[in-house]
Amino acid sequence: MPLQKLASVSAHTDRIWQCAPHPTLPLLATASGDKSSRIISLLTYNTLSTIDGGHKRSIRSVAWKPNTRGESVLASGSFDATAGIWRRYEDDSGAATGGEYNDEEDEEWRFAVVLDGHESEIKSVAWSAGGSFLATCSRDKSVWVWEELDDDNFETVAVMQEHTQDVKCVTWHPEEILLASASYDDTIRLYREDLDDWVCCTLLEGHESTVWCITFEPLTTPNYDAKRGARLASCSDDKTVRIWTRVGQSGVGAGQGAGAPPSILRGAPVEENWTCSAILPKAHDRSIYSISWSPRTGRIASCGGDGKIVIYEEDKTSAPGAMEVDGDAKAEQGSKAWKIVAELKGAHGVYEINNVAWSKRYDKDKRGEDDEIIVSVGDDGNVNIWAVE
Amino acid sequence: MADFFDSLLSLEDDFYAEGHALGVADGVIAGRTEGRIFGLERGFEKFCELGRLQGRCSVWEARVSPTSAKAETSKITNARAKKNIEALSLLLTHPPFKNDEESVEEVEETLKRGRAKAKVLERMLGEKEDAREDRKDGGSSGEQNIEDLGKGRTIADL
Repeated sequence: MPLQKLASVSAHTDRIWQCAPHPTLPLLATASGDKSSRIISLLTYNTLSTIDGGHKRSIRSVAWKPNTRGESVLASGSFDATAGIWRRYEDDSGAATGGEYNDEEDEEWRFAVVLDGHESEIKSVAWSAGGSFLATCSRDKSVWVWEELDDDNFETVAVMQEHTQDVKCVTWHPEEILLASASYDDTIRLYREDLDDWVCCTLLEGHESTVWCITFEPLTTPNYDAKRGARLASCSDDKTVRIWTRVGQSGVGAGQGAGAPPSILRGAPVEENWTCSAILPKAHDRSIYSISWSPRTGRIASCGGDGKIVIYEEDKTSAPGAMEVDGDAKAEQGSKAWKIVAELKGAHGVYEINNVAWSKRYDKDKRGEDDEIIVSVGDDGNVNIWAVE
Repeated sequence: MADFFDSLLSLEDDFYAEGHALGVADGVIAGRTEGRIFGLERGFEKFCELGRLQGRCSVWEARVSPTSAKAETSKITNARAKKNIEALSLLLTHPPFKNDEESVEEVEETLKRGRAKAKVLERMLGEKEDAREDRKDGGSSGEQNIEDLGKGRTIADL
């Protein structure tokens, strides 16, 4: 199943770290080493605007706020240790114009808030499913959770210093108020709010090196099972992509399993038990920097330092039941369900690919309402758009 | 006569052994001294910080339910802040003062969480901390990072 390049936009003069498709409009935001973010149209693949001047160093991560009405809100995380919130008013016919404005009506992006507090480079920003919380993580080993109180007024709700090294990525569960973080210390941690107190409820160990990116299974994938809950996918420097599944919860202090943080705190919260339920077939020869899980087809796309984009698909017959099967056998079973359906070498030439994202397809050649594309960004400063045949 | 000169055969070894023994003896003393100094320094730093956190927590707690009319002006009403203050207070009660592995780890954990909670509270209550001067050596855990080089610090600071 080959990948066809639909477009290549040389959007930036420095490497692009990340791209983020808008939740509802045909827009794509980029985060670049040239300290700016660009908004690209997914209808025409033209660059629409440049968001600049808010950060003193590279923008490492961007994320669109979900559930907005009448405006678009973009969060940017930068190496200058600050996060920025940018706003632009959208009239409700935004969908029709595709977020584009003609010259006279051009709405500028407004730099609304600066969120400072981190002591060193921010590596990732992520909004919770409902848009009520923003999470940021940094090289200072901490994960911060922010809540917007009223317009342009953000309050730090929690500072969690659980990782022992640089935190590379944060992401939220698609439904629950559950936050996940991945770190240079080879672990993934999950956090929950327990009576206004944010605590780490799970520690996922298994990767043999830095975990670069994590993402939860969207609720709309074909294999999503409500009993099992959304699974978590992670990719690492150890060249593997792993899937983690929640297998149960244990009460106060009962966490003798691998997921237990030390319960020296009085009144330790309910702990969650997750297990590695699958390791995807090996395809990359170098670190895997990013993965994306399609909410339409349930496929996972990965990219990395070897310049490849790989797409994996899970068999529909993958039975979520049988939790009694022991860990290793179950993981093998789970792994067998995944197959590589496409592999593209040199997607950005000789350059490393930093981020890959599935998006709904909006351009004029789309093959129906459910068609999707893959957007990849790399060290060459290009945004490449791919269609899966 | 053979016995008398036998010691000459192991002369080098003997001198080496003598030197070694003297070195070990000196080392034991120096090591113990250095260890004690180091332990006292670190212990002081950690528990001083713990004390500061407890102190700040007490003041915050007092502000939650002020007892005099004058104190009413600085009353803390934010519900979330109150919960955090309670949690911080709980966390800081009865830290272990023993010197074994477990207790040391527990104190470290307590400090780490306490600092994080204090940071959240500071920001919630609008206090910008001027304790930066205590942390000249950089980083919340006192660890030096090679990547921070150049930000007003030199190799001599590492």
